[in-house]
Amino acid sequence: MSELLEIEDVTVRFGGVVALRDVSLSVPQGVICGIIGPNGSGKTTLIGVVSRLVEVSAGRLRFDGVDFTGERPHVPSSLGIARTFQAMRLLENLDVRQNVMIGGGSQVVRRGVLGNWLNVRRSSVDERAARELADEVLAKVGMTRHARMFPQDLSYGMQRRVEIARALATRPRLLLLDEPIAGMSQAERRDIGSILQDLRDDGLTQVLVEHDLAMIHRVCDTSFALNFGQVIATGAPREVAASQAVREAYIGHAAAARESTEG
Amino acid sequence: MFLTEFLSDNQTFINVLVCYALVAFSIQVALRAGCFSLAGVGFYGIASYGAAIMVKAGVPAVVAIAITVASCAVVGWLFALILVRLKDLYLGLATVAFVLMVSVVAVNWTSVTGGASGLYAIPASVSPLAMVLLLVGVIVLLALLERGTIGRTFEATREDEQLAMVMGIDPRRYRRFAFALSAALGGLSGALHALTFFAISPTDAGFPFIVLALAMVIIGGFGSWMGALIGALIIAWLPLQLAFLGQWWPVIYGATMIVIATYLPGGLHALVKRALARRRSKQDPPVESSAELVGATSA
Repeated sequence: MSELLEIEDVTVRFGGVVALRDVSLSVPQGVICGIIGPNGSGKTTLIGVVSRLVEVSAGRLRFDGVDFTGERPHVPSSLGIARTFQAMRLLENLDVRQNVMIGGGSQVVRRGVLGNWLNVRRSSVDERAARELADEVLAKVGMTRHARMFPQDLSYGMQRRVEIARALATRPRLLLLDEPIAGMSQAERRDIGSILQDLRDDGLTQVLVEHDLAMIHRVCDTSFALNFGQVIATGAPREVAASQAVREAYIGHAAAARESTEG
Repeated sequence: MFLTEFLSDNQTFINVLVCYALVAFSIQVALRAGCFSLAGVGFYGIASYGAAIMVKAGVPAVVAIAITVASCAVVGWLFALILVRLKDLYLGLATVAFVLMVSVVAVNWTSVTGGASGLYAIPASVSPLAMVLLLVGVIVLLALLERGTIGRTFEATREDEQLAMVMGIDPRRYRRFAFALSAALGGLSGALHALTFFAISPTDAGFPFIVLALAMVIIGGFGSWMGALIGALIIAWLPLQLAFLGQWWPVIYGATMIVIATYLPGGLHALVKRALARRRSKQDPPVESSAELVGATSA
């Protein structure tokens, strides 16, 4: 299995605070890789680093062998990296399909401003293609019938699906998901889990930052645990969750020791 | 026949409307890209002097307009290299400072600008029909800029810069473009002003004109060229209707602006657009139960 994403000795400092310290991890092609860790452990920072919204102080990033450490934030999309955000980021004045089409337009955007502006014939062809792509990815997340609704008229869970669809519309090879099921009902969580598994079966590699360990166990093939900006465990999701270091990170050293003696 | 008669009967109103609309567009295209820039008014001032000086020196009006618009676009683009680092109020203030610098230069560089009395007897005339055609041409270009991928790109750039970047959009590039276009539109407005009113003075592009241009965009709405046009129409038409108030009419202006800014953020255009969108979404009833969704994904 070849490595799609490689993070090598990455350190991120925000002023005096070290958010990530010498983090090295790699995500093989075609898996769902879970990242767990307590609040403030650096999970979202790590996603930010890979999407280039967060500057690295040291270390290297490689995607399919290509170094993209110094790139600006609009570049990862062209490499094939997409992400969703922890907070909802849908544009309220666009309907669901138009929101998704922002993702679908990423190929076109690269052609330059003037060409997209004045070449009417090509832009109508592009528009049709972007609409078809949007409908295709909306179908993947079960939102076809909501295509013409506005985000504020959708439930939280539905908005999350639209966010995933928008990321998919960039035709990514790697999808970074930042707590995609936070605040959802059990039924909605199951649905999102199935969607992610279907996408994996289609060959899409994913990095899933999540607090819900049940979700991690159910969908992830491999996982990492972070605490205080460092990788503290790595391996199959159940092994990682059961490791002493992870239990200590979540429930504290004394409680973990008590639990293991009682157990 | 009827059209030419109508146009020549309302020549002054049309000239004012076209110049106002163009300067409102110049603010609107910048705002639409997320730049609170009033630099368009400064380019209006520079271009009105530039075009006037050229035409007085014997350059044909069309050439003078083309040169001023192109140079404004280039200077606007260069400006953007520095100014796109600024945002919101800071950008607004920097661009207001630019406009004020332009008017100070206009007052003091007497040998070129004619000083406080400005330039007059500018020997050129642009017919009302040409003015209307130019306006229509600009509107077509702006409408193209609001549709499809490029339209959504500007929406994303303005509403959520981080999201835009994650979607592969380089916001700086689009802001630079918007700045250049804004400067070109301001320049076009200024050049046409000089060549239709035959006289210009430093007060034409001072602080009161910034307020007026901003008022057009606030009243009409910055989401679309249509909003800017509605705003320009109202601001050009209102003084004619309020003439009986004499010097007191700015009070009505001010009150209108406060009411619209308070109760209609997004302007008149946004109001119409929201109403249409609601109607459309009611025609497409949403799926009610989440059971259907579960079915859709597990199927």
